[in-house]
Amino acid sequence: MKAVSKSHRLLVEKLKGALQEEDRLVALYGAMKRGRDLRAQALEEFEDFSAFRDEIKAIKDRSISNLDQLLEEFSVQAKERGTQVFMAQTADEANDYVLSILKRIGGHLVAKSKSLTSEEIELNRPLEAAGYSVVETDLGERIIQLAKEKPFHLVFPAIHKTSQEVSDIFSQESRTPVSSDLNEIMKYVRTALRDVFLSADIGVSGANIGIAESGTVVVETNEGNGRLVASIPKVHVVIMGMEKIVSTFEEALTLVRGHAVSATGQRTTTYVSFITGRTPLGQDSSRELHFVILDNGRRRMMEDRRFTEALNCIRCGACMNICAPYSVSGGHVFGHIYPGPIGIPWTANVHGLEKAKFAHLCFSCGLCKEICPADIDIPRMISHVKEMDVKADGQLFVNRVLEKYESLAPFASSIAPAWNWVMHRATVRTLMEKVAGIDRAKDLPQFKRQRFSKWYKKNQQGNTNSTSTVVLFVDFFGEYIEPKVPIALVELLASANVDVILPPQKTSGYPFVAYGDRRKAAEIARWNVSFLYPYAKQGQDIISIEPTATYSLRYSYPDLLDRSEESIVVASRTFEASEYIRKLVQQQQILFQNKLYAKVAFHIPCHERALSSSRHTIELLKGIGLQVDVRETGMCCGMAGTFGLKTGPLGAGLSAAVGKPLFELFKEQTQDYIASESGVCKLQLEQGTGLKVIHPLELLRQASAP
Amino acid sequence: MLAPILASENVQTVTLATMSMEIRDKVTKSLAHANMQIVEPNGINISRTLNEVDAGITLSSFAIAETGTVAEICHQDADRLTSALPRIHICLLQRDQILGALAESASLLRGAVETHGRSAISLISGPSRTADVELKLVLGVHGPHQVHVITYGEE
Repeated sequence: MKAVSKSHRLLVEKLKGALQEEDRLVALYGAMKRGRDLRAQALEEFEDFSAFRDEIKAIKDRSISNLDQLLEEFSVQAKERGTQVFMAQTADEANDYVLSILKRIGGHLVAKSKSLTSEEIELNRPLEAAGYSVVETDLGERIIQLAKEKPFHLVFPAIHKTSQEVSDIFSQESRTPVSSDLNEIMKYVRTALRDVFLSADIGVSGANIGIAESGTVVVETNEGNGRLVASIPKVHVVIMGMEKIVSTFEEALTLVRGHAVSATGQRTTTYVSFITGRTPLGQDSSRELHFVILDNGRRRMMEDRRFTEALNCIRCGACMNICAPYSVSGGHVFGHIYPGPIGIPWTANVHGLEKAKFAHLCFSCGLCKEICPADIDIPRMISHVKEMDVKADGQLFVNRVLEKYESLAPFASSIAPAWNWVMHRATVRTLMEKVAGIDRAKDLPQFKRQRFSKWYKKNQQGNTNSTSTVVLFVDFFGEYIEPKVPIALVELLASANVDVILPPQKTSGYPFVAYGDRRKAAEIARWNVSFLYPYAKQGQDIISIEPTATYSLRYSYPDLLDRSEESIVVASRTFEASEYIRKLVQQQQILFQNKLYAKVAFHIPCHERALSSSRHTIELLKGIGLQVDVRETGMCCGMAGTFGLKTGPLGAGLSAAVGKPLFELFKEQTQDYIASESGVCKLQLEQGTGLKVIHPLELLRQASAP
Repeated sequence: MLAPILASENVQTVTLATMSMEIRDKVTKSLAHANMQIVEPNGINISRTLNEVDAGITLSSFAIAETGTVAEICHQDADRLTSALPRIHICLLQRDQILGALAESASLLRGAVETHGRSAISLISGPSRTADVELKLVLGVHGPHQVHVITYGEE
């Protein structure tokens, strides 16, 4: 058993602390929900948001692949208009450059508008060490600066502070009482910072975009501080990552729209400034504009195929607003300087793997990819970071146990009653918690003696009336825990004279991806694909019940297998069982004779978001007379595969905190059934609510008598 | 239109950004009529002078209907500060200069930069705002508390 590393222990400690700060979590939860709601509202104004998303992705892909050329053009154009351009390889080089300007002009006060890139290089530290005063002028950043903290959230850095705490912070700063009334706080901030804007020697800002064709930078702010730091001080320094450059104004405007919609749900940010060269103030034309263009690991990311896509990030923060483990841990735990899901690949690359330990808080639910306006495959990059960390620092024993759990399944099921009895003993569970780290309070799935594949062998000797065939991928829950679900499916299909083929198969192997063991995940993927490919090649459809398995076949396997021909063909023929059944219902090959007039509370599993968001299932359930009431928080239910089975804060603790608001939604209203397509979500919901969860296929089977 | 807005906000001092003589004359007359004092930003302390003024009047180059945005193309930062420092911003907009969508402004932005080289273009969509404390929206943090757009001319 490998000892748990110190940095891992530190992560668990920090998480434990965060989970106890309920007020903060309530504030954070509210902020995230508001972020998601505002974004959803803004999206309604788009005729076709997915086309807009494709456009953003295309712009970023194009820009990153032409980066050298764009950098050259940008800097030539900027210099032509009198801007001084400095390419910084490292954080130190960028900081030294700013320091050298201050020394040259002899100033003492730096006014900053919000810049994540300057946070990345921790610019304030060397400037303050050299005796200069640095004042953050964005309200949230100013609060954080005075509290000596790091941002809690990307867009709302001080979201965890109440107005009372903010008034205390400003009262302490000014040594006079500042009321906690928001308007009074604003009045104080406006007055106090006006003096800073007017006296500053240098204004430092970030840039949201660089436009190569004219050497222009775009700075977006809502408070208006960006315009003041850019116009009043004698020198304006812009610190920007090299990945921010696009070619044209047209491209820039698409990103301007994308930033606002995804970050705050606005149509556009209140102030969008296009700065080209330094404009004079009155008669003074000796003023300076500097662009510090930062590499700091970006070029390495560009060249490392695993992480190139991270450079497409437009820093909108949407991925944080949908991340369940982030919602209960906050940016101080789920982040280093860059917080949230996209913060994982960024931290690993610009601040080092050691600082990216928080990757292990990720559930691998995949929702960050679904919400990303640039369609960045963040979960894939996170799995690489986890893999790198596991290689460098060792795998946790509990993760190894959980990875192996599935391989014990054939044995467990062969002695099912005994196994389940043993696994139910308090002494055994205590021992398992102590030795293996499996939480004793968590219900473990109950194995069935009759595995699905055995039933299939006994009962499916080929339907003589069959008119067509379909290949079935069963996965863990269907095979071992709930064989009645694939049985219901086979019977439904039989009623339409569709015969089911069951090739040799292992379970999906997704837990290996989730725990950073991509090599083992790839082995399983290769094995499964090798048996599915011959059917797929002949044009046979493959159907899958478990959303995570469908997701694996469609998206994870091609990635794990380097987009091999076989994996692509299998992916292209893989469908959700619900979609397939719906087609048969539409063709009137499956008939539902019994209507079930009842109310179903429905939970959509995370991996469904990449598939149909359970659209087919919901329509089918409505078709058999059910009233379907989707209950969701918008985030993962918290079980996340086997994550929630682990004991301690980094497991059951996190999982329970995440699940709580969802459980309430089921407990506070009545329903005849609770349904979900995922075996994993079923386990979490049943434990969290104490209520029974049924698989939609069982309801459909009931409706198609006899 | 101009004088009643300023009077209702207790404005006493006003500053004007660069605009054509014709419009400037009209604005000046209207302000004189309402007994407003016009402050000229010159000398070495332009920023501090503008900081003391109650309202700034600027001329918009064009506007965008989709986002409710006025665009100011500046070659002089005194103009930019006229819409950035005072608590009230009045923006004059010629009616036939309103575009439909944000994306349509690309060629105008490019044109402005190509013609003048150094420039600061601001797309402004309402008053300065923040929701940084408890996510509650408050207007008028560092920029104007109010933005009024007055349109003129033929449609």
